Amino acid sequence: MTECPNREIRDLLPELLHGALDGATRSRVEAHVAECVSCREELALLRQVQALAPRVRVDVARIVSALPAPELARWRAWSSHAWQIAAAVVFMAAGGTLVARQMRRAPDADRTRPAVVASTYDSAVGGTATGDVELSVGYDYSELTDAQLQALLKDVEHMSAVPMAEPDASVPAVTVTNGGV
Amino acid sequence: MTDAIRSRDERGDLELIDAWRAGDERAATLLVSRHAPAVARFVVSCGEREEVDELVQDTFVRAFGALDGFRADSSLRTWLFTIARRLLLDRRRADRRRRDRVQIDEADAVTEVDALDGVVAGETERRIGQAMARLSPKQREVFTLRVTEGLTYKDIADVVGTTEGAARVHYHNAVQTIKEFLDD
Ligand SMILES: [Zn+2]
Repeated sequence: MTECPNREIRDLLPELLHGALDGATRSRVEAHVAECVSCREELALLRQVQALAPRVRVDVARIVSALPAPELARWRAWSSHAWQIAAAVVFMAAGGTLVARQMRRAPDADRTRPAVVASTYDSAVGGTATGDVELSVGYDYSELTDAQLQALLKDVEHMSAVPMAEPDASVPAVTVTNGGV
Repeated sequence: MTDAIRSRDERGDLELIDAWRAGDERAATLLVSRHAPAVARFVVSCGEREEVDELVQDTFVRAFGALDGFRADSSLRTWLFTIARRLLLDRRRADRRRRDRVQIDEADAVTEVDALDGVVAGETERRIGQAMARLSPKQREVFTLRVTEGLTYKDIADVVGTTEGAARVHYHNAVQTIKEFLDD
């Protein structure tokens, strides 16, 4: 076969084959093909190749039954994009649990205790608050009743006693956890 | 309506995807019926012979599990081809590792097989099959996507990870190679 120099038309032959050309373009390509032996032969070749495509039986029902449920699919897509949000939620939930546990352990001392304990503990060991972020929720000391203050003082004594009783390497974890001295 | 025209009916696919998300399993059946034969054809044309149905199924499972990643500016079918091709290359890499053989370039990963074997009819068909076997893996992929599936150069570039211009060159080189073989 001699090569047709009309690249534009040759590029459109697969579209002609698939019936994917708009009316005007299709007429133009068909008119060229009617006049051009090379393009006619090329189109015939493409048609033969298309007809020779392998036919593979597909079990549609089996594939459909293997698909994830729509909800699961949505969740997967969401979670892949928003894992950081999820992690933040978990973190907050963990912090909340910690506070709740503190509150359960001393119901009479109410919600002010965890924050106060955290702040006092930090100053007692001279560290920063890096290890206690979830407890530093900013409660007001002035809300404390006398009974609560008593309880608090007991806590402070207890917590301060830990590093002071054993000041050296025997309890390194305390210092490290609270940001160092 | 041919497969190719239907695959360009974005609205149809997107509507079915929405319906499936709303709990309509029949929509999934329609989508799979519409596209699975073409995905299977493509996989076989790439030279895959074993567990083709597994690969096609994995393609749909992967696609339906990540439909939010599907950009409506390409066709669903093009996206499915892209996923199928990636799974195929993953499988071949794993096979190769298992056989403890050296890694070869991704462009060569589509194996050398007669893309038309098993369909031997007349002399012309046999000759065309032989001609296609002479194409490079990349040429055969591009040629098949263009002729059998009717994809545009842009979609082909997306599927095989190249540029539109490179896809066009691969296509014309493939046509040239086949013609020359048939003229001999
Ligand atoms: Zn021509």
